[in-house]
Amino acid sequence: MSGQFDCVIVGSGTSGGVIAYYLTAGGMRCLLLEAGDAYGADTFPENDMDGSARMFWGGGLELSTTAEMAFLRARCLGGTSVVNQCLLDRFDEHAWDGWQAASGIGFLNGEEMAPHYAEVEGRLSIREVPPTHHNRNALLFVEGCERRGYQWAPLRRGETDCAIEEGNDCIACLNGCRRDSKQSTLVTFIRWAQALGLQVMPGFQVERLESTPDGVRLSGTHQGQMQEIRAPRVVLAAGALGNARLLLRSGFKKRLLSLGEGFYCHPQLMTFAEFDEPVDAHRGAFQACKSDDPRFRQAGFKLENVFAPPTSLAMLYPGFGPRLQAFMLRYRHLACIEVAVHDTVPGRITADARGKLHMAKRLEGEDARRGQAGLVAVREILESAGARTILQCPMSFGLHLMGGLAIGRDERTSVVNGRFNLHGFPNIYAADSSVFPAAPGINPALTIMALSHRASQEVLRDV
Amino acid sequence: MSEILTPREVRALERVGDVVVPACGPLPAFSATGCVRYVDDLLRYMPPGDVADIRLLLRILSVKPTAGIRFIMSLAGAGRRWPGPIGAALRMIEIGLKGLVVSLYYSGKTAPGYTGTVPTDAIGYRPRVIPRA
Ligand SMILES: Cc1cc2nc3c(=O)[nH]c(=O)nc-3n(C[C@H](O)[C@H](O)[C@H](O)COP(=O)(O)OP(=O)(O)OC[C@H]3O[C@@H](n4cnc5c(N)ncnc54)[C@H](O)[C@@H]3O)c2cc1C
Repeated sequence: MSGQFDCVIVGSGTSGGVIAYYLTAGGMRCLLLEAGDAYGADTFPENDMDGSARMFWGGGLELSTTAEMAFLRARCLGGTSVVNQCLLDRFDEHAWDGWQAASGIGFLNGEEMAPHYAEVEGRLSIREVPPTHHNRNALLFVEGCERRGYQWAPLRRGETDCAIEEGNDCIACLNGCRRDSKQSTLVTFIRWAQALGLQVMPGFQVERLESTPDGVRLSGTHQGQMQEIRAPRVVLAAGALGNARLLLRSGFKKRLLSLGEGFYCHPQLMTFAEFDEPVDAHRGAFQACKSDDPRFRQAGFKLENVFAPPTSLAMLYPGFGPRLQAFMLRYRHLACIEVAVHDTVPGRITADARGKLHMAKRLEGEDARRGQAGLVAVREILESAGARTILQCPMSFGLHLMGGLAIGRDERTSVVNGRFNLHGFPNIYAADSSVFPAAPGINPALTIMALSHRASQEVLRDV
Repeated sequence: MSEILTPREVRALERVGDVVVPACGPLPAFSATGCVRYVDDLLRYMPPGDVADIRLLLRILSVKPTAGIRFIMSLAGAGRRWPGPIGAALRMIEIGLKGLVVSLYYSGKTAPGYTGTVPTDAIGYRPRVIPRA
């Protein structure tokens, strides 16, 4: 396939969907390639097993090299925006300062990014979860925080109508929102772009990328068949692990020494607490509140009230047999708070000859201290709310996979420049989670969208 | 029953399942639910290398008595605290086997004609999705 498209976008998640829309709206003929399948409100899997297996890489989760950390990322049209919680937060000055220091890129500050945030926010339905939607898990979180004098805030979510009053349980939307309420790129930017002529090809996994004198050559498998696509330019939006794998396999490490370095993931630690009365943490808006305490931000962690479906809960429980089953029988009586660590110790992504990814990432040093400080706060909150027993799960996991193609001025320490081009490759762009030069300690999705909007303007300017 | 596992491997998975999630109060044993028949729905989406590792493990476990399976699961669980490659291998075994078992068991899927309690019902997990009008 060649000559048909002005731009190919690899990966259809938070970044790919947004970029596809703005480029198509700007008059470019675009092709959006996605390794996973296309699902929708009528076809999303209805149980966690099928949801994890079909919609996530690795058949559910991928492990760090030491198997101490598990990573989750989606593999479907719409990418991780389909399975995430759609909590949409702007960065604060602390996050931007960290990015400035790490990248030296001038526009990475609140003021210059504000129009890009405003542009994407203006197209989505975003609202704070109201107190009327607090389930008992959220009420216990608020009660515990207030007793300990910790500040909290409502979560800000991309949704249109979750029908909480009518009894809808949002935990089911971890396998895709069957009400089309969650503002994933699948039901927003990709849908709008398709109406303008965007071509979408699910089931196409790009395996190699080559820079040619007249553009790029991509090859990969589509429904089991090898295919080649040529285009004048490509936007890489396959996420931190997807972009790193593709470029490492395609031999770019020789030119881009920092490729795969600087991998962050906001390691998360879950604590469950048992209460005498049922909590029913899985009911209604199962995530509603977060910590909003400057002391926590300073200490390098944040807290969110959250819960887990039974499969995840059973996995997180350290043990098996009758003890596990007895714990599971208390499912309705469990509350949960998660610590998300603002990690500072970078991990590394590599790929072996067969293309298997290896993520070297541990919760160690300063990050382990941050995690412990968070766990102490969680224990205080849960005890203040009247918890009978508390279980801190030993396994940590990463949902916010970031870095590997850090943005920056210095070619030796970064991969992408301030115009979102790979250093030395003016036809290859990236603006997704892979370009994060450091962990922000804040939900990344909205900033990925804002960066993607800015990148789309750069691409349009180049054409 | 499975197009990916041999009957011997399926039987081993059922025995591992009964060790990981045995009958307990209203909760049925793994093997009683018949959920093992859906194992291909999971394995089909896993990387081939991981499937090969799980099959090897199941073949090894198929010749062990139940006490041996329990010992290996305990050892794998203890691996959480071990450093180095041995700890990593043990954690992978624990996550691989336990992950397979609890995904099947707590999927809520049971064999056709199963009349016992569904595990998700027993723990009170019945999320409601209100269709859009
Ligand atoms: C369960 C969960 C909950 C989360 N909740 C939140 C939240 O509430 N708020 C928030 O800000 N963040 C959240 N996150 C994180 C957030 O969703 C991600 O950081 C974000 O979606 C990443 O966007 P991306 O565009 O970089 O990658 P993705 O959205 O992951 O998109 C990458 C896409 O590329 C595809 N791909 C990969 N390799 C290839 C290839 N070789 N060929 C073709 N296609 C390929 C993938 O299949 C995928 O669809 C959550 C994550 C998870 C897992």
